[in-house]
Amino acid sequence: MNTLFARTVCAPLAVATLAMSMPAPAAAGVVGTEDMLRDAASASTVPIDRDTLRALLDRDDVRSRLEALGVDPRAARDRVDALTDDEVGRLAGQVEQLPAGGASVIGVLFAVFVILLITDILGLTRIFPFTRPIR
Amino acid sequence: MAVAGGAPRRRAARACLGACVVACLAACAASGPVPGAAGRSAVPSVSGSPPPRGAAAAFPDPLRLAGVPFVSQPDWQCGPASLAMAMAAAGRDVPVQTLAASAFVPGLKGALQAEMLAATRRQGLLATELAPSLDALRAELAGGLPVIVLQNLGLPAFPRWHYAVLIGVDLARGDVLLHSGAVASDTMPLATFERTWARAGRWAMVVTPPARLAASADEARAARAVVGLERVDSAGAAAGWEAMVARWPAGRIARFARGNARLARGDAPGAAEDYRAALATDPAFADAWNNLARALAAQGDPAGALGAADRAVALGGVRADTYRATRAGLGP
Repeated sequence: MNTLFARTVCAPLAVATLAMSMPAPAAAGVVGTEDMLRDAASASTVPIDRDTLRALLDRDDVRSRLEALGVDPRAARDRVDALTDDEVGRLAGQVEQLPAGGASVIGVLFAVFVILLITDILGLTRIFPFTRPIR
Repeated sequence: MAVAGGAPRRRAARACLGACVVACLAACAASGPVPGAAGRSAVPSVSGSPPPRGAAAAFPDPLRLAGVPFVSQPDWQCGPASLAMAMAAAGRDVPVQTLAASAFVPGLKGALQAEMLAATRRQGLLATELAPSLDALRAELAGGLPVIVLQNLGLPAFPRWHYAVLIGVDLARGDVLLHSGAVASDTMPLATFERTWARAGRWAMVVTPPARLAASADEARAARAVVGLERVDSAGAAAGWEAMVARWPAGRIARFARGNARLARGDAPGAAEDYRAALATDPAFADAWNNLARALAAQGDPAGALGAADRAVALGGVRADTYRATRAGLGP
């Protein structure tokens, strides 16, 4: 399910948003504290584009999934805004470890609210190799 | 002391099959005695003999917090209820429904760990993830903070995720005390607690006012807590950075982070001072050289800025492009 979603929705979306979705540093040229800490915490960093995240929350399919989960789509924006990039990235990393098919207990639990957002991010990271850590 | 049998505990577990993320290690700062909250009956007090001086990891035993308010969880809402208890202990009464609106996902019948942290920040409080060790939990209890813990009360293959609030540890007797589900001051054998906690990745968090750092947090953990708060509450975060510099006056992270906060406020000289302090501790801190260059340029010291930018470029690293852009913006 996630893979299908990523392929059919995220990939085209990612391409469409490429032009407007370059990850931007906090202030011009200043290395932000979050960025500095993310390095120290782990080598696997997933740059998060906040504008893309917010745009996702405005999409009809995402909104209907959120409503099905009992989450107010307008409130979801504030909830996502209160997460650090590192936390969003950490969730993104976990999505990859989930069993494929999404039928497991964990998969179901995990499924929607964050996953919808995260699979999109993963779609981005798979498409744009520059977001992979270079080692 | 209330002794709860297995049945209530199982009922509590069923009522809170949290949609907690697997093996997501996250911790929040729990609340405790708060400056300005003196006289609040809800502020916990620690009982137990004082720790022997000089022994690093020696805390009193048993440790038990009195006065942590109990909030019985509505269906499935162990996460929001645990947050409400920790916040009340920090001197902030927040209704469970309010917290559920920011941390609970009805369709998942649970709360994600990351959202437990985020919901805390949205109340202007610091959420600190603890190191995954019993000593860290005991350090927080010894400092008067209840600890929100994530447990897997089921089996690894059939998880029953559950958030509870740890309010006591008795090593000698081998049990712990939890506000859990529908049961206040529930006793659980220490071995059972450690097993269920380990199955949930030993995730634990504490809630504190912004100016109070978790006792067990190292510089990086404390900074992750404050930088999360900064996302929604820059004034609260500023108090957190001050507390960090007070605890780690020469800390590379503390000084770098406060420097960034100062620079964002337009205090370039103050920022430069902090970056220099961070660099005195770690001269190979390229990010700090880069930001020092920005701060010096902002206060009209192009020569100093150029020198700092050159250092950043020479050191390089994953953000070498940023350093080169800084250098290029300062002229040939």
